[in-house]
Amino acid sequence: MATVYVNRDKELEAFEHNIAALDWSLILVEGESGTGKTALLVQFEKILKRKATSHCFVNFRNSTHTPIDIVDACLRMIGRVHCAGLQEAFNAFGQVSGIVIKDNKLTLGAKITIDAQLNLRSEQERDFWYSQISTAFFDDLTKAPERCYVLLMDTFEQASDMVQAWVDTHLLSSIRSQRKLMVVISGQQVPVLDVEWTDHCKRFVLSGLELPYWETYAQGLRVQLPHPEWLKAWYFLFKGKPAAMVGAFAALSDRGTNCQWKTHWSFCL
Amino acid sequence: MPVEDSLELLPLDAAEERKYWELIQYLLQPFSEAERKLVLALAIFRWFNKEITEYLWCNLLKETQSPATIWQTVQGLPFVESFPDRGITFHELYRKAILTQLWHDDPDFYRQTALMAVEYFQRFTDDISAKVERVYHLFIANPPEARDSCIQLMMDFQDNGQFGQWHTLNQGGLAHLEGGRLDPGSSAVVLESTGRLLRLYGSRREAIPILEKAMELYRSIGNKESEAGILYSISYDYNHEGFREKAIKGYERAYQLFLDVRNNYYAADSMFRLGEMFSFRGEVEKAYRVDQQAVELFKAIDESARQAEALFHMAGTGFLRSDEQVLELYHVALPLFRRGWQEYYTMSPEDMRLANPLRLSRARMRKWRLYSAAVREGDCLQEIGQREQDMETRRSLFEESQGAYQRALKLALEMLDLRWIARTRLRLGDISVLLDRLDYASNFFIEALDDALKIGHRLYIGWAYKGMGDIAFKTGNRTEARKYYLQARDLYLEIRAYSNIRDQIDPMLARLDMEEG
Repeated sequence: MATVYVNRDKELEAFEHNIAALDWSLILVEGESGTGKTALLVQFEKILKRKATSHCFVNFRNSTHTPIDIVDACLRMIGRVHCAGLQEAFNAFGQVSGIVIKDNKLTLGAKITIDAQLNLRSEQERDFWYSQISTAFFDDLTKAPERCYVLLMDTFEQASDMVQAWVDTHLLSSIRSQRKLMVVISGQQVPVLDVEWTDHCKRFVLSGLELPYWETYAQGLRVQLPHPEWLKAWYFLFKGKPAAMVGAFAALSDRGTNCQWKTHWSFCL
Repeated sequence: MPVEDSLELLPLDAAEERKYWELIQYLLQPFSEAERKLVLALAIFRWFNKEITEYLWCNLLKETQSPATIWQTVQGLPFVESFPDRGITFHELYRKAILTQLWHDDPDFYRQTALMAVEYFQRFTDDISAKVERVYHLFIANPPEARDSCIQLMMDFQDNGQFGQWHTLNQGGLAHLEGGRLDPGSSAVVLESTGRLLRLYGSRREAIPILEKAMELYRSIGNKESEAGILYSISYDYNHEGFREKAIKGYERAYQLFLDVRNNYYAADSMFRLGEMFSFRGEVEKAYRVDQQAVELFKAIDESARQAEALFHMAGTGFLRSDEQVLELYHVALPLFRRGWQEYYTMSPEDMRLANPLRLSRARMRKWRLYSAAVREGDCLQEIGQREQDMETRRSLFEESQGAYQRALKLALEMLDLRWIARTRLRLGDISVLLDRLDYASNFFIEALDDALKIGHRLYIGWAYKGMGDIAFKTGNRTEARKYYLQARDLYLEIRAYSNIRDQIDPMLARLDMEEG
């Protein structure tokens, strides 16, 4: 699969710096489709792997994800044994729902059952239980052994209203000044934050890359442009958006699938 | 003209999709005709994998050679992205461009591929995600079947609490809608499904304009039953959000629409809701008259429990001046409640009489009607009991009332709705106080308070405090009683439940004052 990475040095440096400094508990990556948000998150994940930082990645392109899926992803990241409070919250919920969760093990079946039991209740009660589960989880998180954990969420605009409400109400309010969990939310639409977030959030607004960047890119690829104005034409047509520009460069090869091209695409890293 | 030239001739402000379409053609130039078609066909899938790629290669394109290498070719395309837990997909901009172009230039190929997708996904009978994908493709391949299947899935998801899958179902429909690929009937179903899920999330305000749009579409195609079903639902939301006038107009129109399609149950029910609206507004005579009509309508279709409910409501409007007349209505209603309960109890959960335009499963509707009949029967018995002079008869009526509430509580617990659970426990608390079973009463009020606190229901919290005050009063603990009554009073003030203060709290506080000299 051809994943193309283009130059986002500034954003990558800021992200790497934040893993060490934890200046911000939230990073928002915003931009139109095709500006390279997903590719940037993939790069963030590479940095996290390189630095052996515990993290999890939730992509809402598969829009069936529910808040319990996110809790489960975080649970696996932190380690089930470190979440005693959450187990208590599950026990309390079990008393009214009959669901038995042992050792924080959220199997696929358990997640489906918890979701069903929550969704079948009124919105007020559902919110009560989300609050219990989330509060317990974030309390556990503060005591978790590692210095920092990172939750990456991509394609946020596709998340259901329920997930978006959970993120707004429970997730973000719990992490603002916590400096233990860094959350990265990327999408064409991201949560709207109030003024209290000013010192706790970094926002990256991605757009197409400038023409000089693509000229350097073309030189790096050592490709023969079909026409001297070829690059400019593509650049102006697609506003320098990586999703289109990289496709255009790929088309210059005999076939877009040429393996040699895939190597070239990631040259800038 | 070579694609490259045509691209250069594109105006800078050409539609995004047009530009990407040219780019795709440029990219696919070196591919064979079959490979190009395969790429276009794959774009019709929201996600695909090796199996789907080979399925299309062999079945749609009738290619027999190298199905394995074609997967590698597809994976190498520069606009391929991963699709979590499923496989891969094309970048949104490229996919949109292909779908728009195909729908415009080659709708037959689009439909043919969608049909193949339907056939592919219907093999996975137990896989809910596959059912969702099947409906997504059915909207193109066979819209009438898509509408029925979508409504069925909507009901299943609601019954089983599968909101994540429901959201994905809606996302697919909305993508078709945005792409202009749906007829008005399918558009209406997609919007209805989206709005109904939003209502369940609790986002009623956001749901209203979406459901109104769905309603307009149903109206434009003459689907009165569905139009009325939505109107009935959003009239509840109008009232919930404080637009009572709109709610009244909504129920009035829903009544007419249901009559037009001879859905007499919901015509009667709309009339009954209208009575509730007039009661809320304090228009007692209007409420009484409307309830009278609802009684006749329910009677005509032999719906005993609902007829009784309308009678019970009539009695409580405050229109009747004499208590004898009120009591008479309760006495007419009581046997009807009992008969209605039996009728619903023996009714199969799949009985056609439970079919409804609110997209609720019949089994769910049966439980709701049973619950409603039991609660109202208990209320009716309590009202009669409170007017009964003979102590033995009075006690026996209260005991019967308690039995009806117990039945209701069992159903409320099955339905998992904490509002109904709390409401029933509060009634059980009240009736236990009347029966002097104060320990039972205390337990019910404590449980109800716990339920009400969970959902932040201030009326029920106040009711629980009032009940605990009654127990303290009965046991002679005046300080405790005053404390609870004042707590209830504060809550009722917050929610402007002035009649509760006037009728329930202030008289008790006055009695405490008197007793304390």
